[in-house]
Amino acid sequence: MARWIDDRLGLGELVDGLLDTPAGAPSWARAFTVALGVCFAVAAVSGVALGALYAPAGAGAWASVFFSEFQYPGGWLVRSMHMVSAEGALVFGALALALWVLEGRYRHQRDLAFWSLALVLGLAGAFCITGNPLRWDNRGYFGLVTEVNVMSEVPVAGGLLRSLLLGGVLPNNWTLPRLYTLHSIVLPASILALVALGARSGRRAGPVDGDAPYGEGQLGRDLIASAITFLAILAGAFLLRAPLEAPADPLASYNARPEWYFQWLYVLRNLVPPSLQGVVATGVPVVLGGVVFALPLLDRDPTAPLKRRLPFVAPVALGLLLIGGLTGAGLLSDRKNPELQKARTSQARLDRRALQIARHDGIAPAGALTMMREDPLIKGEDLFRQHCASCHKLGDLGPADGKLAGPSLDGWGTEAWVMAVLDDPDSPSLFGNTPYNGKMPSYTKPPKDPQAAASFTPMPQAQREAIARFLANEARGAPAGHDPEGEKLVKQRCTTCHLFRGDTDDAEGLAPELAGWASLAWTRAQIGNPGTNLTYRPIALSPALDGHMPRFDTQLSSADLDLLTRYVLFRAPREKL
Amino acid sequence: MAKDPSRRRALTVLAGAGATGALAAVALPSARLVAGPASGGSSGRPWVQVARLTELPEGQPARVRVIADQHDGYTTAKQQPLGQVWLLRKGAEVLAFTATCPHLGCTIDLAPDGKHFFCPCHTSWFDLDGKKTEGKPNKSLRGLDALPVRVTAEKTVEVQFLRFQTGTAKAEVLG
Repeated sequence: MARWIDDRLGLGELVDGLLDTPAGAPSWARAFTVALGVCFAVAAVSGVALGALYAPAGAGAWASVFFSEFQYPGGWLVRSMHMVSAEGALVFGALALALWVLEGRYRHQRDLAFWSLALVLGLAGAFCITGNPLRWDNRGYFGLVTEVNVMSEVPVAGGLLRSLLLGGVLPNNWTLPRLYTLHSIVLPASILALVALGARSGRRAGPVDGDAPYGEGQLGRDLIASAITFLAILAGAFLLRAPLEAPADPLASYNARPEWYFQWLYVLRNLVPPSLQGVVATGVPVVLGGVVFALPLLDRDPTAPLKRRLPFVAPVALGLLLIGGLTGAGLLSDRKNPELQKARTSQARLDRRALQIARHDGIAPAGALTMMREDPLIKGEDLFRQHCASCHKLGDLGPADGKLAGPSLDGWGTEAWVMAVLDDPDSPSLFGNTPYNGKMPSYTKPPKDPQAAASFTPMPQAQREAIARFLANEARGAPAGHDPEGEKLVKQRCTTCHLFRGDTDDAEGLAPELAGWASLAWTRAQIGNPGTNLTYRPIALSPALDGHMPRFDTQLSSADLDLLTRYVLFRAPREKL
Repeated sequence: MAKDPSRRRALTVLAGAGATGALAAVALPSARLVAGPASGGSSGRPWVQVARLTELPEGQPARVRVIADQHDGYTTAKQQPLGQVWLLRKGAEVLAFTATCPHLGCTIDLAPDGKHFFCPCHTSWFDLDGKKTEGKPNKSLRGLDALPVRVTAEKTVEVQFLRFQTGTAKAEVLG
């Protein structure tokens, strides 16, 4: 069989010919250029597999990546290999380029090959820029937005470049097809063309130093460099997972940070005054390109030893050290930034929720963003933040300055909350900052007025607990007559002021209805309109009680009111007052 | 056939010219197609209702969503959230700022003190009137981008939701 193949293709001859080709003195620069090829090969193979599972459109992108990461056996490994090999191409490409400079390999008519290698490294960066947003999560989306905004600062061509990349001024429906086409067709084809160019010009240039055949020196180094690279990719793929955050939401408050390989640019831009940022955006590519272009033209003496070439090698080495240092400094300062870490924690919660819904309910054809926007927990939180959190506290939501203008809803509807009201209704976390301040007495502490204090007896603990138990059961929607003892107590001790099933001794008063308090129906009615006697009384909305909760049935749709009610009732008992 | 150098050269030139011509014939309309959506897509500057005046607290910024029909490439969706706007009521007047940071396009938040606007990406501080806060870090070359805003006879607040070029000293409307 082997013979049959060899007869037709002459593979043995081909290999022998290759091994006999004069390659000159063994070179690590050449070996790590081959290693860069290993990175691209791994990225290509894994990329074809990922491409076969990918949907390049806003509605399907996140969902299809979710599928290949979590639902398809071993899909995560292919994604990880793709990511690690792509980022590895940046590392090994930079290493190869540095070794070319160190060896002065661009002399001996290898200038064109050197420029090709530098362009390949640039394209490796372009692969990352076009590849990251493909998963269409917040990190990819906002990374793209900042990257193209930086690009657009380049004079003349900047705006055009952004329009061509995005198909508009902002990411839109045309964006993913463009990025995908660039990433999977244009860039790979360009890399192949550059490799062909570099290889052709290298071969024409002939061996660098001496006539040693490829098989007797270079081959060993190529194998070592390739093995190191491949093992590093494999190890990285098992240790690191390719990210998939919550689906891209253009309206999200996302604390965007560059990927690690762009950190040095981010730090550099932050070091200069704002007016020079555009100069950095233009200057960095110009300087890098200029150095790469100039080196082969200036450093030309083929026999010069390293010592005499130091004026050329040293700036490049310094530049690389600077990039490495800035990268480290940026990553370190992000780790020490409490605001960023806080934002990451809340983003991570959203990310987990996204995966949870996708796993449990699946993703409808409308796409992952719709899935998120219709989720009661997420949308409820959103509505609460917009309409309730300026007065009420609920878990981590609440007024920015921490000053409540309405009672805290942590633990609302539970025994503990009722006990707290009976103990100190005017506490700042209850009704202290509301127009109801001073309207309800404490049942444990004597009033301030000495005369009234003289006749004050605290309500026994057992009675308070019985009332709290009764009301908490009302909140849970217990059927009528669930606790006759508790009901009797409420009618004895509370209806002097409060409504109970519409009855009260104080028809002119302010105190709300206690039957069904904090239940689904009560809460829904309260949010919709707190002045209907179903919860609070009509006087609640009068100017005399300025600062009382407004009605929301004029601002929110019926569906949103339901959703908000369910959200509050889901979260309140899970938070501690 | 005997070698005829002039014939070979003529054929080479012909092949080269033919290939270049054919390539151009395909490439030019293709390039136009790719550039097409990149240049078009502007649909005027409609006024969009974003709030009722009575909903806006005096002197305290409120973040509202701009909800309007979204024409996005090859799809149109009714009443979609297009972006966010900060509104600040001063009596019968309202100021409107886009919530997109003029520096690099992150989303502007309210600072923890509630008295400034704040961009978390590069810790830029802005006063409530949109100006860069003096004495605080700011990476932007200009203040927040104000949007055209009007209060109608029915006391609704309407804005023109514009997008701006980021990173420049002067606000420059895109699209």
